[in-house]
Amino acid sequence: MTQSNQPMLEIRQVSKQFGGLDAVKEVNLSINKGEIFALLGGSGCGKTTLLRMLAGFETPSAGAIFIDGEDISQVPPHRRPVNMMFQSYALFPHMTVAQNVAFGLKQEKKHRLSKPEIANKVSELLSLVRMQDFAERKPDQLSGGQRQRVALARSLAKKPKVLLLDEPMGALDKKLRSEMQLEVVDIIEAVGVTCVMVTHDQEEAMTMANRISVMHEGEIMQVGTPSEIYEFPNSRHTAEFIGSVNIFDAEVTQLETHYSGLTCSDFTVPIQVEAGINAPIGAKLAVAVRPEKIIMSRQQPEAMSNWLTGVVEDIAYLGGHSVYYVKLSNGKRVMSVGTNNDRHEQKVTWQDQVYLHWSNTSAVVLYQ
Amino acid sequence: MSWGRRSVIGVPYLWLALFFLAPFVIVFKISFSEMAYAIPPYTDLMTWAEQQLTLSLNLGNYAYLFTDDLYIRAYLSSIRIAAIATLICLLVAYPIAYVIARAEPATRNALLMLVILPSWTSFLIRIYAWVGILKNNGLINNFLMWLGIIDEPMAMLNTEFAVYVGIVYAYLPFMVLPLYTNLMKLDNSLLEAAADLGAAPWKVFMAVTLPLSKAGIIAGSMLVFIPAVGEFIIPDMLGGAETLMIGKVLWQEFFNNRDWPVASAVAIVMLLLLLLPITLFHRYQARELEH
Repeated sequence: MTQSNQPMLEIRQVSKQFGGLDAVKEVNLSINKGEIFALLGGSGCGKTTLLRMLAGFETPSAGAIFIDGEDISQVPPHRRPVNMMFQSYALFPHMTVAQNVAFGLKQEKKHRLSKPEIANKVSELLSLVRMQDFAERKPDQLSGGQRQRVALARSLAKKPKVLLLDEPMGALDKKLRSEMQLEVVDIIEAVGVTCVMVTHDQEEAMTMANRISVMHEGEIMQVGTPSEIYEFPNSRHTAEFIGSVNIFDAEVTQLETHYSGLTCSDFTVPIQVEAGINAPIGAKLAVAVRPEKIIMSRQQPEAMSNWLTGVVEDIAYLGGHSVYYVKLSNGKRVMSVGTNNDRHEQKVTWQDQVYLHWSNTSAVVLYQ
Repeated sequence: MSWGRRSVIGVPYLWLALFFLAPFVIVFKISFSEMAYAIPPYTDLMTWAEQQLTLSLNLGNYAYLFTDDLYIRAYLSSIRIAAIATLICLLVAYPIAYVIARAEPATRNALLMLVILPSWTSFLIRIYAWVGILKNNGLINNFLMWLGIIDEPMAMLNTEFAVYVGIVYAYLPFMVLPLYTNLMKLDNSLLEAAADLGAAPWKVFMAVTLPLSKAGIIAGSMLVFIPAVGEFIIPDMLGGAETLMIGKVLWQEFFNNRDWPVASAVAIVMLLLLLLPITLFHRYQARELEH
């Protein structure tokens, strides 16, 4: 990976309104050369609008976009050093695979390429995506995964400074998706192109991207590496959007140097977190605990904090692990995940009284 | 096969047999007969006399079409006029269809209505209205003279130009509608992809929009070309004596000369000429449907 500190793509205070509604609100992002960056969010969060502004299909209502130091906000799409792989792939149905890949190369105005040069580049690109045997096929004679490879080759043909991927795996079935995720990343990293992808699938973002930005209602909620986003969410929305989480509304009662204490009506014991809390005593906050961080047992833990008790209401057996839904006495449901590492083990079952426990380092305090 | 199924398939066949095949067979039969001053004005193909059944096929009508060059000139001129009118129709209709297909859904229906609405008036009256517009003291000439652009009226009525105006005007919806249906299906992301890959707007049109609308262009052209070749009302009302079209010749043979056998032969040859583009069109359509 060729990462340097000079940003390849800079988005400064970019906003976009559609008919008075804010689709994108004052977004600032700086993306490094060679990075794979994911815009992650639910539908209508503004991620696609932001991507389309990078491609030039929409112009920002305010703010500016810089690629390699150059302001491209007003440059039409066909003059931008940016190429996009469309969600539907948008392969030209009346052209063969080779013609599709060659299309961008034929548009070069400054350095017009000769026919053999184009043919060479096309076969290079097709072997990069392992499609050299399909050069003369039409797109409708290809499978979904093959079409995606062709689309990727086509968008890489002009050696763009920034490659845009719009829901790259959206049109593939689940099994093919995980295969292609790794393959696409391998190709992008081999080429070394800076890449911005849009996805609603957190697993896809975490598999493929070096950094993720979580978007919600046109705003960026958090930017970070996949593990930062997962382990240290900065908001209730991010914590809930990425993976599963149990959230408890709590009140700060204790501020010590090595830990902080909180109370919550769901608990008979206090909650403790390792770090200090940026709020005064009496502040109302939320505490988030991921289900896999919770240890479930039939015996009451010896610890004086971080446990609660309830009755197993539901078990979702997922093969590798099971999700247990534990109902507290006040009716609230808490999720816990246990791995199924023993085939015959007599595990906890429905209506069992269980204790859920976690360590001081497991919970995250959410301020907003 | 059940009775119900059979009748569902049978009804259209029955329709075709009654209203297409039967008239065709009658015309085909007449084209081999001889003209006669009788009712009907032609001889029977089969005669029964002295216990002999005689079938006499008169090929003279067909031979006659090639002896007098009027007919060949009329066929060629019809095909030329229909082809040029089809091309003009395509050039006018394509931007119209493109704009309608790209318009907001609410505007789209209003625009489509504007294209279809003129067809609600009688075809004859609409063509007749053009006489008033094109004639020497008609709307256009009077207006241009009032402006002082011309001193004396331009001859527009009774020229080939007037025929082009008439055909393009009358058949425009038949070109617009298939093009519109086709352009509606055009995936916008393909146009974006072409632009994204560096194609300027006109290049996007030439490389993506135009080739992908081929089916619409062919369908629209057939719908205009085929009826335009045999068109009678437009050349008769707007074309005057100078314009030679096969529809007019056909009319004259039937109603002026009362030579039904020659008129039938003219009609059969015209059908044969049109068979070629129709077959090509169907073959193309069948291939399109496979995809």
